[in-house]
Amino acid sequence: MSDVTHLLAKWRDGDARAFDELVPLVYAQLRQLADHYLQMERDGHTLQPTALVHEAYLRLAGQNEAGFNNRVHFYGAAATVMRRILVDHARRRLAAKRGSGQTLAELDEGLAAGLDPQVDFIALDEALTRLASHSPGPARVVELRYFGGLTVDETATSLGVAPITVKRHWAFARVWLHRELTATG
Amino acid sequence: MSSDHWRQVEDLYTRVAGLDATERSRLLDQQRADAPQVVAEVESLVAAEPPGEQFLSTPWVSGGSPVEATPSLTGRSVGAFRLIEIIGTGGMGVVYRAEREDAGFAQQVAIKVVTAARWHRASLKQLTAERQLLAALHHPHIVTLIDGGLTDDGHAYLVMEYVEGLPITAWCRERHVDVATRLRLFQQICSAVQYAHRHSIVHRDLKPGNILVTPDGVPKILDFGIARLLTEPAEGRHQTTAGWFRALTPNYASPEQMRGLPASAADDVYALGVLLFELLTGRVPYDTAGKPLDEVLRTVVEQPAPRPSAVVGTSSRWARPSELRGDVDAIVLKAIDKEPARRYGSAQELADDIGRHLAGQGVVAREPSFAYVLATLARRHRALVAASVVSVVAVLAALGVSVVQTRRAVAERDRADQRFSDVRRLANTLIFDIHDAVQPLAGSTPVREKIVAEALKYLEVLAKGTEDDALRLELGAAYHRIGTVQGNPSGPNLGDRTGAVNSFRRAIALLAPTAARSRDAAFELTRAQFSLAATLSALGQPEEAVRAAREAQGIAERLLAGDARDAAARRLLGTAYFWQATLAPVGSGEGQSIPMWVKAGEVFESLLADGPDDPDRQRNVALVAKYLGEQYRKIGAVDNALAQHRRAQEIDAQRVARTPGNRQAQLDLALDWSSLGGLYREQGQLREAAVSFERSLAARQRLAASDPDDDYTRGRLAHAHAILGGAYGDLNRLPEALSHLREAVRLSESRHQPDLEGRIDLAQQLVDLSRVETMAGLGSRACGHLVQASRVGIADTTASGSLEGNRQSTAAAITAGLASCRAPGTSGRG
Repeated sequence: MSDVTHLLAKWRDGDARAFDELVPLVYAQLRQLADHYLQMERDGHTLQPTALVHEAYLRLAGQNEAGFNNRVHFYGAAATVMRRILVDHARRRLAAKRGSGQTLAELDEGLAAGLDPQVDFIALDEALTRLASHSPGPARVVELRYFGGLTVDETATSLGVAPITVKRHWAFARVWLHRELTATG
Repeated sequence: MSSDHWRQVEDLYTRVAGLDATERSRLLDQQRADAPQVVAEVESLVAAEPPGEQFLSTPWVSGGSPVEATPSLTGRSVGAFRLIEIIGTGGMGVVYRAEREDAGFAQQVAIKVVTAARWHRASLKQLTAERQLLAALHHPHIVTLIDGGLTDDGHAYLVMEYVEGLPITAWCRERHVDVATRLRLFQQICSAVQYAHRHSIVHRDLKPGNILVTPDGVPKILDFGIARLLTEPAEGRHQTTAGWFRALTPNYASPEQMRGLPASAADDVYALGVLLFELLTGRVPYDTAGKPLDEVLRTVVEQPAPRPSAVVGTSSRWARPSELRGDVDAIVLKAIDKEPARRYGSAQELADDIGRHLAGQGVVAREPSFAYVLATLARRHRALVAASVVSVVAVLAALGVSVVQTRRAVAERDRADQRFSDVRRLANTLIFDIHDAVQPLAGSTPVREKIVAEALKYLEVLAKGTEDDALRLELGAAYHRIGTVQGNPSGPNLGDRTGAVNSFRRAIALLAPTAARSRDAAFELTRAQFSLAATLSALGQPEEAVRAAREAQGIAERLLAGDARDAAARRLLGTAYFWQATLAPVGSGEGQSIPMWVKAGEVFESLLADGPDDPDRQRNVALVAKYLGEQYRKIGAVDNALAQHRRAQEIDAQRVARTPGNRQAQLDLALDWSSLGGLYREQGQLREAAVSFERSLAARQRLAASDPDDDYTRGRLAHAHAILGGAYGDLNRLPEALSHLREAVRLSESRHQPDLEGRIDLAQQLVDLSRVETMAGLGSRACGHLVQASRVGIADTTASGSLEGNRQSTAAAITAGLASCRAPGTSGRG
């Protein structure tokens, strides 16, 4: 059993420390993959979080152990990590733009072109954090669906709730976040 | 605000979200008095601009098309060439038609400018070196790479032979070429791929778009090795591009490529198989269009490929199902097997099998797949295997009879010869391929005997009066197989030792005259001799057993006189030492066999040093360590003994970890644990002993549960129960001890035809049971079991090797136990 599968099993069984051990492993792998993929955007590929996270899972957990439940739980963990990666990246870009002394690596040039221009990741991240402070369920649904690429059903499995609950949280979070992000002043 | 407040907000928002404005206001007004803040928040949400469809629902990264992203370079110069026009855009960049500027003649070329990545100037040297490797490929069906380099803005470009043509699928569609023509065209492509593989260059992205056919019908493969050239990470290269993701064409990428494993020639064979599928049916094997990558991956890795003949409809323009059914189906499915090892070993083998099909000969693809299908069936349904085998045998019977009849007709001699070899081939397929396919399956022992015995009948018919060496070899090997299934004590068998000895002697008689002429026959002969030796030993005939092993040693020495480094002959020599050491008659004193074991160990150690990953060499070293450890134990060299057994256990644990389905490795590991347990027990480390025996029993139970008909496995399970029961007895854990010993006796009594070893085991188990019963105050039962032990019949015989010691001590224990059973009665008088 690979480390990741083992940690996932522990985490699923309620061991919160397992998650803390899991994240650095997942982070390193996803970070590498994300850098890798974000360079490819010029080629017309559409990068889907599902594909990225799935690849990370195959590499970390191993093909033979890709049980459905483990996969969904992994996606859950990966969603958190993806969020961090994108926000970190957006921060670095911002810092570079401000001319804070850092020079843009060519790598980041590729990254910069790749990000969805319609989304301000830093603002989204902050809004999501505010949402999580009072409505953790809806915030987690956004994290899983948007950053982890999970479907409604997979999100439901990951959270242990009914799909209808996921849909309700999703609708509410979307409208709440949209209001936060479009509010002026 | 509390989270309770926000839960109410979410609930209320959910209730009003789908309502029209009037209804919504009415509902909100109703709630206002109870929860004014909740209502205010919901009103604010409703009043805000609603999020668009795209909000949070688009993938968070997207890119434009490569052409948009890169301005056209038409009209510019690249190296010595001027770019004339764009003739295509692909995964990695843009392809231009270009002309040489400086020459006095017009050389037309195609130039691919790779816009997907940029290189540092520093990595140019490496790019050039790799490019030169590719430029060395000269084959009529491979598009030649002429030149390459970096453009001013750091993009790699590759100059290639300019080919005017259509992608192969489009060409076939337009020309309406028949199946045979398409197969021959495909063979040419295979030969080109084979040529590149011989130069260690793998394409990695074979697909119709990369294979053009010129108007004259000549196929040309584009982009050979380019995928690797452009995507493999390499030192000094600034940014590598997409890795597997880019090179991945759904359907054409093999399952292992999809998983991101390193590229190999097997990927190209797979892609060729998919290409053949598409050339024959007009479709790709899996429906992946528009599906997300992870679903595509799951499909390719898990879903069985359809047969091409099942895909084409009866009205298909590509082929009629009847043209594909059988051979062609088998060839395609073998090429696109999910397991690389089951595919054709090379593009050439694939081409050769198509050649055989076109020539009307039997194709290689069908034989293993038959065995494979049978094995797959067997896994699902044991009863079904027996039925399938019977029907195979029935077909064979029909063929065999017609052979005999047809052979009489002189006029049809040629045809008869053909049939004769067909039957021979089928019989051999049955004995070797199918038997081997079924053998690893649990519960297969009776089926194996049936397979081998039936096939043997047909070989016997064919062999009558033959002096053909090859046929004698086949027959000898077949007899060896059946003897093994009947009763070779070294593995799963049916317990018929006498039948086994007869089969082995028949094999030896057939092989001996041929052995001097044929190396194959010599080795087959020694294998039969070893099996005979093992079986004779189990029957209590040690002298004859040793004689058989010594004859094998003579053969090995003769071979080594010709070539002292001959690995197979060295292995044979080690094996001959091994058997002589194992079978050495007792009476010559303990530890007498140690020098022979050491000799065997030296031979196997030297072989393992030459090939440390070879599972066979690992096993041999572990096996000798086990036996040598046992001898050291006997002479009281405990440290040596423990060291040898631990070494064996370590190697065997590795073997089990590497291939958990390997029964032999599991058996070996079970044995290691019981030996270690025995040593600990002798040292008085009783707890360690019990733990080791528990591990040994667990291993035995796993083995027995998966093959309950196997007599040998049952005997060893009984033994494992017995030694664990004994260890619990030592620890004074009497109830556990009794239950394990009773189970041991029950299992031993249920064996079909226990050999001497089995009988000694049973007697010993009864003695142990009576000992623990005495400790537990169950004296009368103890004496009953001793009487039972005395009737097993081990007193008036002699066993071979280490067994004799067990036999004598058990017999003595029975005598002594019975004496003390009488003693309490007499003590009452005294």
